[in-house]
Amino acid sequence: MSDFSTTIREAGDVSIIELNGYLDAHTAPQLESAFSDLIDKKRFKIVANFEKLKYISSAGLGVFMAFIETIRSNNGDIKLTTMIPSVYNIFDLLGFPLLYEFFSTEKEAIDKFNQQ
Amino acid sequence: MRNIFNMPFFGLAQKIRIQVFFIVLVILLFIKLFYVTSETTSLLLLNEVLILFIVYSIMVNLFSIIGQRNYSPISLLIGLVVLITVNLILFNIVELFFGLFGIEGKNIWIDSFTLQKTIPFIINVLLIISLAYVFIVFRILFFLQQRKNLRTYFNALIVFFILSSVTAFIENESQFEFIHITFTVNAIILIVINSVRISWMAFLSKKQKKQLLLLSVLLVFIFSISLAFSKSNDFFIGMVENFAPSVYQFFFLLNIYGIVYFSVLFFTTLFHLPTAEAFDRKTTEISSLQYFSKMINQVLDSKELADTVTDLALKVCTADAAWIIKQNDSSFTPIAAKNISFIQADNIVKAFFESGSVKTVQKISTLELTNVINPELQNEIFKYAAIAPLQSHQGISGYIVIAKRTDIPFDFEEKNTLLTFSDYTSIAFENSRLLEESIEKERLEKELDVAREMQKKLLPDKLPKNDFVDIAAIFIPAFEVGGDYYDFFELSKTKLGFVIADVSGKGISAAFIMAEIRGIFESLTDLLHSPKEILTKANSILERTLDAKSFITATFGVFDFVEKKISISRAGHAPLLLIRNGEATEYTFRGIGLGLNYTELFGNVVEEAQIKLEKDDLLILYTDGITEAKNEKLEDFGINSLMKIVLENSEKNVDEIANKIVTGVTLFSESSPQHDDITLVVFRWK
Repeated sequence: MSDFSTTIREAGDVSIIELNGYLDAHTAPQLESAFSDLIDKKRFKIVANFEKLKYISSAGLGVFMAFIETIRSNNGDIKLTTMIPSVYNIFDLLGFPLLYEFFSTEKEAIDKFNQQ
Repeated sequence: MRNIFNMPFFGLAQKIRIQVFFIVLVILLFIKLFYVTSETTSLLLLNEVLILFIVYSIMVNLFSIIGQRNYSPISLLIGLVVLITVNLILFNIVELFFGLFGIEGKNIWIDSFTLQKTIPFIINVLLIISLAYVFIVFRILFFLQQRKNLRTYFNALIVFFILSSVTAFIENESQFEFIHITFTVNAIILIVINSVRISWMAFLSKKQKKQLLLLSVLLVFIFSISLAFSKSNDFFIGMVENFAPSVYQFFFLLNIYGIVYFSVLFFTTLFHLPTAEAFDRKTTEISSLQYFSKMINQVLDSKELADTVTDLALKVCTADAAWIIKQNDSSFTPIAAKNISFIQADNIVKAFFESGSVKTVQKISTLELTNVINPELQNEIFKYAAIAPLQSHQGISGYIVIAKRTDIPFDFEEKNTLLTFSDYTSIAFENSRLLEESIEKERLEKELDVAREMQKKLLPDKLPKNDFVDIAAIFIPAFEVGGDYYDFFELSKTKLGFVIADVSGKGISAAFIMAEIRGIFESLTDLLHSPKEILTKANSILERTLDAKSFITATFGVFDFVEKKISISRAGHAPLLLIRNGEATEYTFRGIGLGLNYTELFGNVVEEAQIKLEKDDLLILYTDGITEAKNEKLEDFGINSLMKIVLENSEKNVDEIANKIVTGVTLFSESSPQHDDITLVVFRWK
């Protein structure tokens, strides 16, 4: 179906994962392996940049839940930033803002990590 | 080859043929016993006619025995050697026998007493049988070659053989002798013409060619002896020529034929011998490739296929070891290794890649292993190796490798064969992969069938009926089962519970979770009547079974017919739509999806709302299959379109409203496939 890709950037000990395109049941495994790689490299401070993500399905949401426990138990976190309203709405309906930190810019998220 | 004696008499039944033959034979014997046929011309002519018939008859009968079977040329030649040798020995014995009586060959038919004549008669008949056999063998050999007008050439030969033989009675130095000589010369010319350009031995194996070489020398030798014998042995001349000049002439011509034919055969075979090995290999190659192309369609298991390939490669490329490397990402795994250990195979392949000579296009590269400075390869017994890539649709899928122990490198032919082989193998592997893929696809489709069937069974088959609320529900499954679920629970006579839920993910796993939550809600509603409590309890039960990346959104509500209100809680599900007095309100009650968090937080967050209901209130619950339905521009159908349709049709009954909504969604997403289940429940408070 639609394309999806991820790009990983580093900012100190924070890793920024940029999501691009459409994240659904078919493309979710790509994001899963990106997270697995980061965890393998012991990089637990992750900022997910949603700026270029156009759509997320329930399977896409599941990826964040799959890794959050491991990441948090290693003193890390996944912080979600720069979402377009329709994507944020899906997270919001599900109650994600009660469980995850959302920021309107990537910088705020990185700063939050650095303050800790 | 069959029915070549398509002439009269041959068509008769064998039994009658043999009877006629014996009658003629007895007549001839009678004549021979009491007359000397060479004395008068009329007797001589009668004699020749009978002889001709006998020769012909023997040939027909003999041919019906040997001509119809496919004897190998080698065995026919061995037969010739034995037959002629036996004949020569026999003649000498007969000469010795008559020598005892002091009878000379030329007077054998005159001096012998009547019964004694039966011996040369039998000998002559045996000779005719032998000659017929020799002639038939020549004929079979002649028709082995592939040339135009074969039959014409051979028929001409037969005609001149007959003419030369039947004119043999013409006495030497008579004025008609030139006729006989002309025919004989013509017959010999035809013998030569028919003997050149023999090609059938090309198709024999090297071993058979060597046998043929030996046999042809032997036959040239034997035919020469036989010819010399027939021309120099007075006893033989007298015995045969006086029996029938034509038989003697026939014997002479066949000897000439034998000498010429087998001389030519000897030299032709000799010239073919150097290429015999190449020919052998080509033959094996062709038959292997034939076998192989058959295998491609029959062997579907890729492991079995790999085994067959290496087996054949070993045989055809004259290699001592063969194996296939399968390429997975960047690693190589040797499979189907023949005569080599996996470690050895791996080492050779490593050496190949280190040498940087491996081609990714359809080309062979070879490696002299003794030149490779690799300590692991020092003890190798293999001297040379060749590698060819296996190409597939997506690029290189692996390699086929052969190695040999001998000091001779792989030659051009062997490399070419390997290349052809790799082509075939690529196709075969591609086929087997495509098949596996289609089996996998079929399996997934079956799985989805099961999931859809499960889903259908989990949903309520009829809607509850009561005096307080009208209910309509529509469920449209997506091809990949989406995990939508709705249900109703009659909690008491005055309370009706309902749930609408959407399991994350798709397919059979979503269907299993559906089945599970159905069970959970079913049992919880026996004890609890509060939506918040039910959802909170369901969430904590799910912790035991739900995997980390799965979750469920749900809205649980309870109608209270007495208090005319609804209690409702939302666990991450799409908002509730309430239409009252031509106005739509979206309610997004606080709450998080089931399975997102198993701590106290869940219960603390989820709120339970109470809404007082008024007459004609419309309550709409749906899953994201409706709001996220996409058109060809990938735009969402959205909540606003949904509200618009509901408001436009709010006066209609619940079924009509539900249908209008579904029609709206279907028209909107007409050109795009339905990705998710669509579930819609409409309530109207009466």
